[in-house]
Amino acid sequence: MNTVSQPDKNIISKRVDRFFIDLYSVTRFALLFFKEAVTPPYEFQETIKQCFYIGFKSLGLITVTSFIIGMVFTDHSRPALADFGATSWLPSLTGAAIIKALAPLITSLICAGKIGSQIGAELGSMKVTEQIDAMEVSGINPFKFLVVTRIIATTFMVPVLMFYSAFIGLTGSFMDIHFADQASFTMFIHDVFIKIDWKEIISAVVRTVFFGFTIGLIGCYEGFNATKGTVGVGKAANSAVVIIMLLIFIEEMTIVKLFR
Amino acid sequence: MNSQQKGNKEEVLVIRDLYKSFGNKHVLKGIDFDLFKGENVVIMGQSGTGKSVLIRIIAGLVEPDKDMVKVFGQEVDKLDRKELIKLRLKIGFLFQHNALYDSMTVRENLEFPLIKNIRNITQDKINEAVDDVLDAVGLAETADQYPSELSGGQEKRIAIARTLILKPEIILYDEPTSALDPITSVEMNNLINQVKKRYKTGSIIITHDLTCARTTGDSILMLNEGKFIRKGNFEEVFDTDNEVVKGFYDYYFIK
Repeated sequence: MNTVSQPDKNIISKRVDRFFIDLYSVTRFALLFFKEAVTPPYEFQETIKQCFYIGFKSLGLITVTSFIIGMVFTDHSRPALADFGATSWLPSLTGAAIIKALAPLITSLICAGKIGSQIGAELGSMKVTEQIDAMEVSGINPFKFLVVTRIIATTFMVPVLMFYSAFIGLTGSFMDIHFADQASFTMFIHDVFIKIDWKEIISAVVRTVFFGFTIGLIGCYEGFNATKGTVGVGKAANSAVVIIMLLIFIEEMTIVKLFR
Repeated sequence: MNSQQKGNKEEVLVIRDLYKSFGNKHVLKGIDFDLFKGENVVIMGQSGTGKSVLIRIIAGLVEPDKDMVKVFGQEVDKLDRKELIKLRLKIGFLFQHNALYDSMTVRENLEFPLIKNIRNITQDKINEAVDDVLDAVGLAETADQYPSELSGGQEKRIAIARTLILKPEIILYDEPTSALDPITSVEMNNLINQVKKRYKTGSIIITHDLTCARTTGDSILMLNEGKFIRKGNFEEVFDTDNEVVKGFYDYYFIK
């Protein structure tokens, strides 16, 4: 019979302990966010600044990625539909895929990589260089100024970026269909939206609100709790991206099943 | 003001029976200590003896295990967050690595605590306060530079300017001359004395630097294994056969 050796048991039990301790800490961090978010004074100016940075800094990457994915997805789907003589369904298929699945996921994963890691590294570096303590001793609430503003900004901006990503993805898809099948723009738009109802758009928005909240929450949590100098900063950025991506897929599955 | 008069001196900080442990490591083991207005107290000791922990407890950044820390007559660990913020405005803290906000210019670093703490402050008042502290540290020309563009000595001076911007009555210096060359260290020591004279602050200076201790300290406390083992002026503290204290002096003068 295979037995688990003593050191292995310890490693497993330590990891389980660590998981529950982290879960408890993140939950407390999230509850503190809600408390601080509704308690004055409000950091409107900093929140708007963060919205601008988060939105603006991700635009380039989202534009290129969404356009290419829209175009390539359409191109790959054509032969399969052509086998059934159903290439006229291409706009409906790509539209449904982009609006329901690709745009929310692509936007969130890009923001996880770009914004989540940036928040983790930025706050982590502020933590290890005592800038957060400096705010504290200057009578400034660092949680409100750094964490609340960033979580609100990601929660608000990721859905906005999702709409932008969908628009760009559909543009890529239209260009592919237009050059291959000479389809008109009006007909393309009509076919895209004929198979999509409001419930599905709301589902996409709800998902991206959750994804945005997750990106801000985990990025800030990892950064705010960074330790051990520059190694800690790198670890905070890395852990932020890995955990956010994992949570995004779990949330995606859960919300899609709930809305169905 | 809630501070107490003791003779001619105004007591701004009282610490009694302060204990602090991290896990099994007992860092502070019953510290008693007073600070008066206009006085510079230097705390010396080996690395890891709890000097920085002590000033972090005073600033409310670390919670003590058992203590009585009174700042201006208020017990720090009994204050709620609002009261603690109010008290912290009277305490300036110079961090060992300066902790300047690197995404902000020098001017923005100095303006930030003012804007966040004083409601409806006018831009004229802000400019006046910023110019005053920049003048005090002699670095008016760096106002539009970022911290990364400053030398180590300039960064330290700007960090002091930031602690002065809210006109604190107590300043806690955590190793103010660390990583500075001897000439810049002397300038820093002079600046600490000028600050005391100009702003009438009571200060605690954590240092390993004997020149800094001798130049800036009205009194010196030697911390070892969580307790003060020597108190007095420079000569009194180092006139001893205690091995730890002698070790400091002998190392510094390469005996």
